[in-house]
Amino acid sequence: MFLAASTLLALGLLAGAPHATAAPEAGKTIEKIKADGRLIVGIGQEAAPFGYRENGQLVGYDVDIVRAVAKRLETYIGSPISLQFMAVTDETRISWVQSGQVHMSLSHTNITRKRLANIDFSVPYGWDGKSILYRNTKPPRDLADFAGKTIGIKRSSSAEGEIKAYFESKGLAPPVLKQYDNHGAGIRALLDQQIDGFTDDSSLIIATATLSGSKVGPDGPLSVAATSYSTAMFGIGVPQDDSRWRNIVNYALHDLWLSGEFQRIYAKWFGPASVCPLPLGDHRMEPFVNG
Amino acid sequence: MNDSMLATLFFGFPLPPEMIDPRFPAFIQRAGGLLLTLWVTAASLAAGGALGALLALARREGLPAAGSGPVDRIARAAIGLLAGAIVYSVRNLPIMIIVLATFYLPYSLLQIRVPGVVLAIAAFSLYTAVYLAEILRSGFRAVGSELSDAARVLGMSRTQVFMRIELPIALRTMRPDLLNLAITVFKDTSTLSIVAVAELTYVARQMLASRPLDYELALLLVLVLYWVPSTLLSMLATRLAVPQGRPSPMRTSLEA
Repeated sequence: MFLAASTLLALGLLAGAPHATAAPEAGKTIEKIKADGRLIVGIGQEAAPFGYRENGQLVGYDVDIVRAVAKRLETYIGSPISLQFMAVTDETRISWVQSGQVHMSLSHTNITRKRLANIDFSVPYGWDGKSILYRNTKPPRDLADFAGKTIGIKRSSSAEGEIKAYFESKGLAPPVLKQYDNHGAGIRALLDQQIDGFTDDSSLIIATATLSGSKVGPDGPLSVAATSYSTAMFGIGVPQDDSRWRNIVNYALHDLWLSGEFQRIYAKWFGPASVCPLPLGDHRMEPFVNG
Repeated sequence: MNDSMLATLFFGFPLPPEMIDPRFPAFIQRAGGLLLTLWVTAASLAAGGALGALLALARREGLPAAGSGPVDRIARAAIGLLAGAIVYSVRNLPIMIIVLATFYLPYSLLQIRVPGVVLAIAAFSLYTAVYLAEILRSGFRAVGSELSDAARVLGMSRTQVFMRIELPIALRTMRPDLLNLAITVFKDTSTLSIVAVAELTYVARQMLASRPLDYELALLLVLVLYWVPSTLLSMLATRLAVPQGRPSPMRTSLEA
């Protein structure tokens, strides 16, 4: 009897969960923010240079971008809003957007088709590529040198499928992947010669390696393979099927670009003097015509 | 440098102003590190203790009732069934699923938004309550009806039987389980790191993002910070235990 009742209860919980995700009152985000006066933002705190602790303070590219975006959003929402952070992890950065408990989420999240099945993204606000960090050798290594080698990868990274696909498309043996909880642990394993390389977005691996005191480049202990096996675009995660909300998030990003504020923030984190220089190159925002 | 590491593991990182929900007292949101771990543990044991006692009472055979009419009996059975369902459901789920659900369902079902620390205490109170209910149930079962019946025959009231006979014996049986539960809750709060509640494990995770090579040191400190309070609790349990040699008055009366 108890068993039957508890099974029913458990099934009810499980059935309720996906049901609830399907309808976070689509298209209501702007109204909710207006009514509450607060913009709830999911923010990652565990990955340099996007969101991490420097001398105890939360800093990073994502943190600066979202503070600037929030200010611009006030114009579009038409009333003052206060910015409220909710820390997210790799396990929650997508699902909390899906449920609507955060209005947007910035946690060095790559825009992927798989993720687009569950949430929407703003236009990209960062561009990068996935490559492999390795212990320096002469001559420098190329991606093909890692065929069949052991490569470290961070848990819940989108790199897993992408690296396999790249090696298979080149007719090479895909590397053996080994998962790590965070970038630091992976880079540690690389330095300790437990793995032949460590992969993720170049910015993340270079910044973390540099923070760990290992200079990345020909005159340091580590290097990054010159080519990428996959491109990466960082987007602000927003609830699905709410184009009015996604539009004004995009407008806010575009305004930052037009005013030059975006470029200033970008230079601070990825400029020549930063921890992980990442030239914008041909990447640019393409603001929609205001007319 | 290592001083600041230890201090951070004890008290957490300072929060940016945006991380504080102004509708809730700031002090309950500011705690972090070991301090938050201890605070979530203590609050969950207190709230879960009360809820667990209620659950156990609802499931107890021969629940005292106002009357014994059919409506009364049905209500009693319904409450017992509901309490049983809660206990069986929660007990059969891994703690990580309970934590993820507690941080997901209140908003997606009811649009309730509360600080993470409140949800953390809610999740672990439920967890504590369910295990406590089971400990209480088996503890009181161990008393056996002969003693209580004998006490009733001797003219003790229901309350007297409970306070003087059942509770002391049950408490002695349950003491190791109760302390084990406290230690388990203390250690399992580490699962809160997956929902970014700034307890000890999450603070260590954040620390490693900016100081990747201090991996071993951070891990060692975290290990010690979990180990010391758990061990102190275990030692307390041993100290509180009734010395084995001396027969208690209750046991004497049983054997007599």
